[in-house]
Amino acid sequence: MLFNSRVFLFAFLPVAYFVFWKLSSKQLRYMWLTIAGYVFYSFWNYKFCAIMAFSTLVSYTAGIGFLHFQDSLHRKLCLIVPIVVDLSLLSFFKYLGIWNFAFSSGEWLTSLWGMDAASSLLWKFHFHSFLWSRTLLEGALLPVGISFYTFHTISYIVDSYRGTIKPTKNIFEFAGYVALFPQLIAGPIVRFRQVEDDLEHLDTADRRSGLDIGWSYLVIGLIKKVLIADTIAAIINPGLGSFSTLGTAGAWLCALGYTYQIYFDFSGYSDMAVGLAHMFGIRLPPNFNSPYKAIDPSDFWRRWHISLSTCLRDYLYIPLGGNRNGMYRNLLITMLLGGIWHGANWTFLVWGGYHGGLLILYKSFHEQWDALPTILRRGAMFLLSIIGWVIFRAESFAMATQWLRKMFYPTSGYMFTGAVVLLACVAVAAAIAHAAPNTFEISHQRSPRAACALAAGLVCCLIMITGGQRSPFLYFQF
Amino acid sequence: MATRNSILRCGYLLPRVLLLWALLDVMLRFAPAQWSTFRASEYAMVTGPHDMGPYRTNFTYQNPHAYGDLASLSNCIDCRRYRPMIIHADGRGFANTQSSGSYNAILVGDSFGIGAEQPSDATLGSQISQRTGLSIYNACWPGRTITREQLMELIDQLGMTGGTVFYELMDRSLGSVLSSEEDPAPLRINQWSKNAEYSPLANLSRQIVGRLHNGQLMPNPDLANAARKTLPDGQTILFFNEDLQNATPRKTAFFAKYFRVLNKELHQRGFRLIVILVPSKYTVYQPLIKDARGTNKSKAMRELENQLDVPVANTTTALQQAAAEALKHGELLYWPDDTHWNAEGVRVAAAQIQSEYLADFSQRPGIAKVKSVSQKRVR
Repeated sequence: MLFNSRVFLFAFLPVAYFVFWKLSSKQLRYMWLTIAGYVFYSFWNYKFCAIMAFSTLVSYTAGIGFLHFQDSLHRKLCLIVPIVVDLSLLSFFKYLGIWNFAFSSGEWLTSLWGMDAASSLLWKFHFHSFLWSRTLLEGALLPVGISFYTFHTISYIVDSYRGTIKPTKNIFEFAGYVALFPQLIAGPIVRFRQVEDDLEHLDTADRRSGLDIGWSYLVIGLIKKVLIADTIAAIINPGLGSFSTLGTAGAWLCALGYTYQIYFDFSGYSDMAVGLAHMFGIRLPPNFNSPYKAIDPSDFWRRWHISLSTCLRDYLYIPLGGNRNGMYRNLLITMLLGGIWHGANWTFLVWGGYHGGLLILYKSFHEQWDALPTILRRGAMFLLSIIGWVIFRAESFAMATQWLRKMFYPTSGYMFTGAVVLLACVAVAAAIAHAAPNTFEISHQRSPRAACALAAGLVCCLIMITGGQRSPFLYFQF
Repeated sequence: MATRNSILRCGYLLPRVLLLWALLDVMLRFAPAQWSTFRASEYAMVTGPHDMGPYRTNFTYQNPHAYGDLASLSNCIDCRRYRPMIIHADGRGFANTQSSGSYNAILVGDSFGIGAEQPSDATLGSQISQRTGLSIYNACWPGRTITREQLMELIDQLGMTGGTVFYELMDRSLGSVLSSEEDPAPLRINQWSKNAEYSPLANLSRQIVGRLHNGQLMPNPDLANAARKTLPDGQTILFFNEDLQNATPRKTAFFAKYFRVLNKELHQRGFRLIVILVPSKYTVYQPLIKDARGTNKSKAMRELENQLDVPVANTTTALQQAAAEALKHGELLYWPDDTHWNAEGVRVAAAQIQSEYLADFSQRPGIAKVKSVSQKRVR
């Protein structure tokens, strides 16, 4: 069930909302949030609810373990076992396909290293056995949102171990947190400590106070997604479908289009998640802070997908040694893993490595970079992020290199249908992304005029949704 | 700033916009069908309630600006050829002007049998009726045929103790996926869910979105739903993509078996079965189009004809020849923006059926099995 679907807007949301506020006790509201989350999730594939329930149960048990055990050995067991279980589930479903690319690279490596025939055969046999097991499991689709709720459960376990949070004894509070439908499928990756206070006071939440702000965020997110991101997608996807015929102008338009599409798609989803959570008395942290206004790579990662980058920082980069011990290595490992978190594909790995490289370069030459005028740094950072998105969007490494070559080496080619509309959309998107305040910077206690403008935007969105222009959020696949 | 009690607050205004939209959706379902549909078949597929047939019972659908299904499927606004359309549904929901009467024949088939956009006196049923003197009940259903079980139920309802059943089968059926090996269309439509899904507001919204995704302003994702070809005289004509696919031997064998079983059952009830084989538009026009890839559908139809032990009126050759002849005068037997035949196409098919019917009748006045004239010609 998508936030921008009729079943969500006209059936699920009203029922979930009215029942929630009819319930008066905290316990009943936790239970209702859990039920609503599982119903929401089951619209994709009800079978995968079992995986989420299992992951929830394992992490909840670990939390109880932290409350019971004070000795180091037991606490470490409570830390390691559930993390291994969660990561195993994630790897099983998400990275099964990685053996495909390991195999393809394996063949390349054997030839590169001049491996003898027998070793090469053994290598091939080894990977063929993995591929065989993969064919057995072809029916096992990727459970949507597994990357996000795995992060939720792992952050809960680590924070409990570190003593940052006190694990909850209430299983429905924890299950409600993991299955909180606004952020279940594509984040933001909300840590327990960020919503703990709101969850604790769920019975005293004021329905009316969250209503204005919640609807404002929801409709802004819907407009970003349906009117901007989906319109851009409807033009550039067919364009990229006939990629080989594109010329330099077309390649640039596609790159620019995708740069804005991914931002408006994902930040639109995040805004909707924040708005929906507000309606249920829970405040979610911002996930985007005008990333295309960033002036350097570090700044970019403080503004883009904030919940992921802070998780990577707190649970990976700092434990690896952070800035003190092997900073460059740590940065590269963190960004490579951040890239591969998006899926088993070379392009994601290269995208992670590319941003890791940018961060390393910036750390090495930050004095020279910072001396440049702000407008130049902002423009250069935007250009660097476009290059990153080309790598990210490309279906293969070969396509990424070809795409970049077309962008930077004048090539004649065909211009796809809808270029004029795309230019108009890109202009609007650019004005919003580069010049306007973001959703978290504006006041949601809106003037009547602004409310009417949002209402008009909502009607346009409803026409598009009802009329069949609907596409899933890009980050659902991750 | 909006005050806490103002109605122009996001928390007050925006959920009410959603609510109004939902109310509008419900209200438009009670509005005249032609407001939001482009043709009767579209409306018929999704609305009810029905007794047996596809349409709302005792219902008249009238649309002065109907246009072709292929123009709609491929969202080709330039391809539309507007024409008036009127369909009367009887008390069972079938396309007949009256529910009762003394019938001595039933026409079973799909939208080709209904007559698509023909006036009621130019439909296939009316044309056969005029040519053979039979009183025909039209039991066709757009997009599918009624099941054997439904046919027997209909015969009982009409109080018929004998007569003729014309079964119109289109060559598309020899290539499409069958839902079951038991019956060509055994699935009953869940009318409740269909009614819930059907939304005039969605139809109107789709038209707005379609205007944006028209292939010029923005890419048209539906363009591939229809194949666009040019006839020798320069006319552009649309074809249903599925009709460019080949027939499969399994489907031919399936229908041969199906008609044997149906014929046996009808024979026991005092009926004789005449199968009408109808080519798709692509089968008719493909030989006339330069560089158009051929299909094996004509051959598959002949094979099916040879396998059947019942009279068969294969209209393929007659329509192909008539189409070539008509094109010399710039005329078509099918609507250019639609999968269906026009009045001239129906007339050609009805003439062929008439000759098969009369040949069969003269050779077999009772219900004994004989080979049709066309079968003899092939052999």
